[in-house]
Amino acid sequence: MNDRDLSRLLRWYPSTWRDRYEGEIVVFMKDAYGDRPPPRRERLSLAVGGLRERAEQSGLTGDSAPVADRVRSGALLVAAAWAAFVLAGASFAKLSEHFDNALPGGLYNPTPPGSAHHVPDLAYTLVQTVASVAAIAFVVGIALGVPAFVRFLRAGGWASLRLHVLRAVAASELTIATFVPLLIWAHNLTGQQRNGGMPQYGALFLGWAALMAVTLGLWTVAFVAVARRIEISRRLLVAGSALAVALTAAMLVMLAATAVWWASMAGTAPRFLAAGPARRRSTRNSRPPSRSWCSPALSPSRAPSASPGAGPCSVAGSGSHVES
Amino acid sequence: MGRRAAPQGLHRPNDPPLLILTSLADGPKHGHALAKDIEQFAGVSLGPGALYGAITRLEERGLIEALPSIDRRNPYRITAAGSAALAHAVNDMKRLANVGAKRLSTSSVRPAGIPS
Repeated sequence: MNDRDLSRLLRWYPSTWRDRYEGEIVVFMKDAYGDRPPPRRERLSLAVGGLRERAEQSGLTGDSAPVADRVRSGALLVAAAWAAFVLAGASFAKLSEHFDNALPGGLYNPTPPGSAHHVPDLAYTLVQTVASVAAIAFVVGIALGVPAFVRFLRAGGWASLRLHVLRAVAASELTIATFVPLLIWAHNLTGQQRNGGMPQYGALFLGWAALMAVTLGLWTVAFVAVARRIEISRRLLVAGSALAVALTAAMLVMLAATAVWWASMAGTAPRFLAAGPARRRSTRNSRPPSRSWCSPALSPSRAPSASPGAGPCSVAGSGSHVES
Repeated sequence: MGRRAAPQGLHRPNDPPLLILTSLADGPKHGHALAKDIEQFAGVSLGPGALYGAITRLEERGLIEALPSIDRRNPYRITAAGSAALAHAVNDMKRLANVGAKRLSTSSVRPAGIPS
């Protein structure tokens, strides 16, 4: 391997660290392995070392950074985790669409509702409520930092943020530009086609979802870049830390409530979790239910769910026929 | 349960910082020579990530210092503070080893596989 290839193995490290040690490590690798590529174990060692160094420099680990920087880094880590939670929440919202129809007493489950019916309902409501409160806390945190951000911009800080913000804006524009034709197309499709019945639409939707995730990621990076650069007063740091603690608690509660929802759905309506999206939802033209959705003759595996005449059992095992 | 804090984070005999200080107590060495020496006397193979992570911390804390580069290789040497930290850690381990040896000698249970 030449020097350039070896240097590429150090991309995990922060640039300031590379400026100091890159040349040395390249020579170290050459001494140890000559022209042979370093083994996977050594590459992993560099990757782990690089991430550790980044965590150390940002103040997340170690004791080399000032306390205020470490607190700020912790709060930013929570903010980044929140962005990941938003994505996970969107996936959960899609997965759990119309789950109540599959529960005893629901549209397609004539079994009399018992007490088990309330558990998934309560867990889902808890997830929604806590998510709303946490979102408000996040917005409050951003609002608290706006004056410091304005001062930073007036002091000429835009140049250091320009690239981050422009990347995020470009990704946002692309996401919006692809959303409009997707929306128009979706409007002309049946629920079954939208939910797995049409591979082309499914692929485009997944592509759009990935773009959305990238956009959210880029805005998170821009947010972290801003928050690391602005001057934060002690009061704002304390408020930010309190909000970060609240956000962490909210994420834990949501995680627990989601687990309870999942477990209770597995107990009361297992087919809902087993069925794919296309089976979980009916066609636009599907007939209203005329019999129980659990008839073996109309089990999901046998019924052509795309057929206009497919009954509710074909839609899923889930029993849900409401279009998404 | 309390634990007496070791100076400069030198806690365990196989801690990379302690191994590096032990190796440099013998004289200045560059990265690859350090790794080879440590493997020889401790049987611990330090990857480049762990080795240079520890070198970074030790240098930040003033326990080692870089000497002028020779043929793109930067030798390091232990500082007076580094020698003091190493001596402290070695004394801690010696005390622990003495206690262990003393208690083993009075224990009614003989360690298996170790000649008495």
